[in-house]
Amino acid sequence: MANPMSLVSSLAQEVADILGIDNLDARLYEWLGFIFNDLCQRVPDPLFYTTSVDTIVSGASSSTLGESIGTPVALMIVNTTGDLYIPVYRPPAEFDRLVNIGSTIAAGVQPLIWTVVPAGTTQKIRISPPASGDMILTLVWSGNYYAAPPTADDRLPLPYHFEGVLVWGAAWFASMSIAPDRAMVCKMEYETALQDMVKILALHSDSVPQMRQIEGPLAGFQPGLPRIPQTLGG
Amino acid sequence: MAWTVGQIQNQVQVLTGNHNLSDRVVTWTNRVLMGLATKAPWNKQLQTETMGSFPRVTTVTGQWATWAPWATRDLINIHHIIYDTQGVLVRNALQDFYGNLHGRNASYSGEIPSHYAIPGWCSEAGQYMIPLLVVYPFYTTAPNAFLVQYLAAPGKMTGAASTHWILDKYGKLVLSGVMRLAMLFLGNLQGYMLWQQEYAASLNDMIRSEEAIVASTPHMRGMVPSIVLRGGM
Repeated sequence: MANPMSLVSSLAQEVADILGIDNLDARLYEWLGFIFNDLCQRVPDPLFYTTSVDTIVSGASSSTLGESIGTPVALMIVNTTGDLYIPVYRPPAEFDRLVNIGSTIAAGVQPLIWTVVPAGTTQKIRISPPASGDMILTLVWSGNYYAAPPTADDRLPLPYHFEGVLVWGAAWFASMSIAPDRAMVCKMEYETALQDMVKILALHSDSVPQMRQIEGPLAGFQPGLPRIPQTLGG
Repeated sequence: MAWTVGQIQNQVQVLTGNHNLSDRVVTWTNRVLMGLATKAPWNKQLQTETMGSFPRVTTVTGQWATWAPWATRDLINIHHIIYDTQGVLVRNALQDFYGNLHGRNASYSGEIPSHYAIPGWCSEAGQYMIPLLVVYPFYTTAPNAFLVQYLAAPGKMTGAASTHWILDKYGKLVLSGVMRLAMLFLGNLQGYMLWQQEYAASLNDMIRSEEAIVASTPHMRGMVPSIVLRGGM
């Protein structure tokens, strides 16, 4: 069983079928791109999380990230002996204060706190105390998006079973002008499909919203979703 | 003998008077089935998969379980992880896998610095979505030490001969969903509204039926959407 993701051109054909218009040009692909980036903001789920892997060398306390990230969510550190650490996230201002109050922080084996210092496209990740031995960092961050206008041969990184949301969304976006009699229909279908997607991604066997207990700016809540009391194992 | 996409194609032909829709009906059937699969935690769509081993290594890639079986599977959502060959199931291991996994490997007596797991985000690889997982410090070299239970999407319908149990059990629902798309395609908005309301009514029946099944399964009780959304049991 395998469901390959659809080509953007295939999705566009489905959109054109819904709109009843078969001579739309490549701008239809851009509508799909708009909706995908819309989903990235409206579906607060690890589905759109991204990881960055980096190294802080022995004795150092920071490393320049290889890419521009969104909102940092969690950090996992593995040292050369294979131990895993989950240091606590601190916002940049607080991190700086804690580091200074501590005056001299001896290099230890276990980083206690971390932050990401924003600086345009050259953000730095900082840990304290400094690394004892080379440490491999896996940073989880949210706020990813599809950065370029999709083309016919692209595949938007969304599982096949959620592609219907894209199709209805793009149909809604376009229909407002070129098929207004169908706009409300497409809007309703889009919102319904989107709601289903958010709900099914948020449901788990014990009803705890995902990521709630992960350290970081997103700890403790899941933006955009109601807080759901823990029912089992609570 | 099972219901097939071919029967949906024939029905659409009769109900619309249009015999040129066969290929589109396959596409629409897929969209309807996928939509249904994301509307309820179907018991029958739950799958269990072994996770392989998680050796304790010093490279970051070793911390990640890139599930080979998952590369071609269709994960909607992870339910939970359970221990298989590694001894007893610690109760708290049933905590949400997306958060802090409090359970521990009962058969492992060594150092356990922390219990943590972050799975679930996906990355594009070829044309499939591959969930990445990190599980640590479940230090074990035993194969298949862990099982994951997850909600799977239906396999993609490829033609008239394709079948699926949802098609068997909820044929009218699938047909109604497909017909609403067909009506939209044919420019018949009144027809769309008629089939849409039939689709919604059938959908309501389906969700009631599936919720009744799920609610009677203790570990899945909290998953019933209507119960969850009104604040738990």
